[in-house]
Order: sequence, then C-alpha cells, then structure tokens
Amino acid sequence: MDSIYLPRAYLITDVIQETDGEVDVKTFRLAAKSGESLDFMPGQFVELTVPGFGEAPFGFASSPKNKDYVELSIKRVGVVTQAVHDLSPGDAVWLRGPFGNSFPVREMEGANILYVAGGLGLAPLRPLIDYVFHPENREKYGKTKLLSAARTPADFIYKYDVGRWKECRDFEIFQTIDAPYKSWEGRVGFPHELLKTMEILPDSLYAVVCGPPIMIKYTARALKELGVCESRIITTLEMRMSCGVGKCGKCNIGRRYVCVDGPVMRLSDLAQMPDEY
Amino acid sequence: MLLSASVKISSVKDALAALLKDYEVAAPVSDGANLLYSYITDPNDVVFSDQLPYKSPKEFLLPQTEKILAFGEDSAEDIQEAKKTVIFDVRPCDLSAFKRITDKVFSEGKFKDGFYMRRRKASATIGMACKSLKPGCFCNLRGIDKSYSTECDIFLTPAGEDEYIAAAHTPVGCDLLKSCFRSVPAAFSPEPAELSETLEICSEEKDVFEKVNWDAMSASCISCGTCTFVCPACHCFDFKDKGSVRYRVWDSCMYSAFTLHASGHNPRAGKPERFRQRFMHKYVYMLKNIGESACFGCGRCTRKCPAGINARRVLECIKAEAAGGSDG
Ligand SMILES: Cc1cc2nc3c(=O)[nH]c(=O)nc-3n(C[C@H](O)[C@H](O)[C@H](O)COP(=O)(O)OP(=O)(O)OC[C@H]3O[C@@H](n4cnc5c(N)ncnc54)[C@H](O)[C@@H]3O)c2cc1C
Ligand code: SF4
Ligand code: SF4
Ligand code: FES
Repeated sequence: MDSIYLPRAYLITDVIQETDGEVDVKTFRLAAKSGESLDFMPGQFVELTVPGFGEAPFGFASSPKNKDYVELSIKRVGVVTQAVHDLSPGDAVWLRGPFGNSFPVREMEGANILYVAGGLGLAPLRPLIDYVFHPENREKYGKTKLLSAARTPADFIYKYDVGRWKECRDFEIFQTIDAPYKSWEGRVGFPHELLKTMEILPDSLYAVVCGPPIMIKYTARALKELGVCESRIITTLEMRMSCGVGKCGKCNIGRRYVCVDGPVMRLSDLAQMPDEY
Repeated sequence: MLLSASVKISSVKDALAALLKDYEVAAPVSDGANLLYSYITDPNDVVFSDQLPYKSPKEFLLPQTEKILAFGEDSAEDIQEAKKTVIFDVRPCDLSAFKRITDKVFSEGKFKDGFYMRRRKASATIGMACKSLKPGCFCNLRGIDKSYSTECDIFLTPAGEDEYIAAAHTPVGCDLLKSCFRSVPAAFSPEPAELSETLEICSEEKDVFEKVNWDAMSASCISCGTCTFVCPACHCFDFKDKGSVRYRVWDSCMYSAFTLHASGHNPRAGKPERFRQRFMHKYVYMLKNIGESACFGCGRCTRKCPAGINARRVLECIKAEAAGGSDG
C-alpha cells in the first residue's frame, strides 16, 4: 500500500549547530536512502520520525531547487526534538510528506517582497528566499528585503547565509535584537517598531511574516497600518499535529485544518477565522 | 435494494455460525453490566434486543489501538492486520455515521487513509431496525429513520413474530444472504418514514463561536472524553510509538493535551474551548466542510456522560443562543 502514513528512510549527512543562546537549534541535512528527491514548494512541511520516540512536523528549510538533500532546522523542546538533536551524521531519520499548502509564489511574481522573521521563523522563509534568488526565478520578482529579529545575537540562525544573500541583486537585510547586548552594533527593537523606520511601498508589496504568534500579531498590525493589503500579508501557522493530512482532527482553527488549508495563511484568511491559535 | 427475502429469527444463529467459518463476527454481547459489540466465537453469546450497545461499532473500522507500521533498517513496513469481518446488528444511526462521516473523512479527498479503507473493505455490515427510541436517542431529529437503512450490506427488519425481512443492498450482501442465511424470497417495500424537522445549527460559524455561553454550557463537564469514545462519528486519533512499532490510537478533543504545543502554549487550554470544539466540529465545521453534521442522534454520549450532559439539549441551547442576542 502506498500509504500517506508510510515514512521513508533518510540519512543525516550533516548537522549544523545554529545557535548557542537560550534556544538550541540545529539544522539537519537529510538525503533519501533510496536516492530519490523530495519535491516540495516553499512553505510546505514534512513529518519526521525518530523510531521509538515519535513523529513531529517541521517546515522545509532548504531551497526547493536543491534535489540532492533537504534541510530541517529543529529547535530542541521535547521528546522528538531532543531525540533528533541526539543524532549525528550517518544516523537515520524517517520522513513523510510534503504536506500543506505553500506560499503563493506565482501570484507574488512582479511584486517586491518583504520577509519578516522572528527567531526560528527564518526557517520556513529560507526556501522562499532561495526560491526567489534562484537564477530561474530572480527576474520574476522585484526588490526583496529581509527584516530578521532574534532575542540575542547568538540566537540568529543561518548566520552563514547572510554573506551569500547580500551578494544577490536588489536585496537588503536588517537584523535586530530584542534588547541592547554588549558587542552588538546592529539594530535593537522589535520588528513591528523597526518597520516604521523602514521605507515601505505598500502598493507593490507582499509581506511574509514568520515567527512566534505574538510577533506575527504585532507585525501584521504594523504592516496593515503602513497600508499593506491584508491579502498580501502572509504568514505560517503552527498547531499541534498528528496526521498532517486532515484526518486526525487535531490542528483545526475553526473549520480550517492547518495541515491541509495551511500552514500558509493570509491575514485576510485569519480575519475570517476564530481566534483560537 | 438488490434482493429481499424472509429469514426465520430462529435461523439467525445458524447464519452467524456459518459466517464464523469465513469471517470474524462482531455482535452485541453482554459483559455482565453493559451491552457492547465484541468479536464472538459462539453465536449463543449474541444478545438479541432492542437496546443499543453502549459504544458504537466504529472500533472494527478504526480500532481504539492498532499496530500500523514497523520501522526496519531501510524501510518502514505496513503491518496492519485487517481480517474479513461481519459486523452484526448495526443500527441506522451508526450505519449513517460510517457512510456519511468516517467514509468521507478517510476515503475521499486528496489524501486517502489506506488503513481505514482496508478495514472498511474487509468488513460487511448487517443492519437492524430499532423498535423504539431509547432514553437519550434523538435520531429522529437528526434525519435518521430508525426502522430502515440502505447504508449497509444487509438490513434486517422484523416482520411478524418470528421473521425478519432481509434486504440486501450490495453484491456482498446478496452473496452473504444467499450463502449463509436460510431464506425464502419475499417482496419488500419499506414505508418511507415520517421524519421530524432536523435539529441543525444554521447560524454563522462566528456567531456560534462567540455568542454561545460556552462557560455555562460546559460547567459540569469533567473532560473525561467518554462522549467522544462512545460516539460513532468521532474519529480523532494520535500516533504512539513503542520500540520500532507505530500504533494508531483514539484521541479526544476533550483532553487538554490534544492541542498542547511543545512550547506550553495551548489554543484550547480550557474546558469551555474544548467543549466548544466538540460541538462546533460536529455541527458546524463538518456541515460546512463535508455537507453533513457528525451526529446521528444515537444518544450514547448522553447516556454515558458521568456529568449528565444531554447532547440534544446542548444542541438546542447552542441553536437558540447562536441565533439570539449578542450577549448569549
Ligand atoms: C507546520 C509546522 C511546522 C513546524 N516547523 C518547525 C520547524 O521548522 N522547526 C521546529 O523546530 N519546529 C517546528 N514546528 C514545531 C514542532 O513540530 C514541535 O516543536 C514539535 O512537534 C515538538 O515535538 P517534541 O516531540 O519535541 O515535543 P513533545 O515532547 O512531543 O511535545 C509534544 C507535546 O506533548 C507535550 N508533552 C511532552 N511531554 C509531555 C509530558 N511528559 N507530559 C505532558 N505533556 C507532554 C508537550 O508539551 C507538547 O505539547 C512546526 C510545527 C508545525 C505544525
Ligand atoms: S462525557 Fe460528559 S463529562 Fe465526559 S467529556 Fe463528554 S461531556 Fe464532558
Ligand atoms: S454526538 Fe452523541 S448522539 Fe450524536 S452520534 Fe455522537 S454519541 Fe451519538
Ligand atoms: S494534523 Fe491531523 S488533521 Fe491536521
């Protein structure tokens, strides 16, 4: 049976320790034991199993144009995430997916894009950033900006990507931390405050905001006040999940299932949904 | 209807014995205190009565605990065991719950649940008419005819003192009727039932969510989850791993751990939110998503609730409050 519940074996080929602050995030590079590629679109997620410990959902964190491996950036918080953090290159994990909807990359063509990331929220944005930067696609999109926030300098993930991204055409990056920190010379403050100091041209803009729920709420409100249309403010949601395919009844917000109708949602969708997330 | 025949009530046990040669048979039995569906080995254990077993027979399609996968070195293996099963004496409410809810949720749409579908395919259902509404039953308000259903392989309707009319609705039903039952062909034209007006929530999602006084509604609930486990239409589940084996197990929206995030955040932390979820999922979201409310008025949740919560009355209150003024 070709089951939606049947995971496939992957080999960990690389582990990157992303943070050394309060939160412990590692990025795992995974290649299918069978050699086959896992085709996905930015915004989608997979269910990852560590046998004996269980299964949990994680957003893809690597470029969808990369067919040799996928990357997941995982914060250590509980049973499964601890178990995967304990693994090393050469160990196996299991994946099933891809699941969920994706960022409306077609619809976004021609527009400028503002990415706003809070902490680990940069992970689900990374496939989108790299998709847009891909030579096949770069011409289709306008200017892009990334506003990346973290609690402390040590909590930024993908520090090694910044140099690579800065070399891309029409791209600006703004990094900010929550509170002043000894050696930090960059910006200080929450993203929704900094937005007000940035040049935002709301008419031709898609704003993609990923991070903790509270940050999404404040940032979305600030963007709205700056005149960005609700249907062009896009975010990703997290709910506890088991099946990932709309069967187990766990992840709904109102009548919508985050695993199939999401995780990507527009602010205009959220306005229609009850506030239970 | 593909075939109808009359069957002597006294011959049904022989039919069950014949079925037992090729199938697992699940039927109502007594455990001393309760009537429940269980696999039988002896037809004499089957209890023939108008009572409804306290749990629905959904466990034969979606078991409470089921081994589904085993993780090996390089591949995960499907280890579900779905034996050929006949579920005997299923009432119209449960038959509708399977046909209209679990079949749709698990077998339709982009993603198909092969584990459920395999069990469903391996199962035949023999339905039975209810003679009376039991305390708590309100199938009549949920559009269900207690006396007749076509949503099964064979349906048995009592006819006179010592006979059933068996109506076969599927090829499988015809085969079973011919091969295992001593029957003589008999004409049958079931009378269309006179149904009451359906008790349905027609208000907008937002109104039901906001206007109903969920605190008051759920005040006596103790979040035990019994209502969801006995219900034929509830189907939420979780996966649990033990060693290299993955199990699928029933779960319940009445438990706070159901939606608890690893961060400690919980979108439905309180009892009122969970109570709201149970009723809104059944009567609002399902109706909108698949065109059918996930309740057929079997009354089991009402009969088994330790806090005495009456589903029908809750439904009536929700309907009134959602349609009423803004402060519920
Ligand atoms: C679409 C989506 C994308 C995601 N993407 C990412 C991502 O890219 N990176 C990332 O790091 N995370 C991501 N997450 C979050 C991630 O899925 C969770 O962090 C993960 O499921 C936690 O699993 P765990 O087994 O480590 O935690 P668990 O320990 O299993 O915790 C799961 C739940 O059980 C509870 N629990 C655990 N143990 C106990 C106990 N002993 N008693 C009571 N309750 C307990 C926890 O509180 C928690 O609510 C995503 C989630 C979703 C829905
Ligand atoms: S059976 Fe009654 S007390 Fe238990 S969860 Fe359901 S409504 Fe609450
Ligand atoms: S909600 Fe209650 S009355 Fe309705 S089908 Fe489920 S158990 Fe029966
Ligand atoms: S995770 Fe199971 S329904 Fe969404």
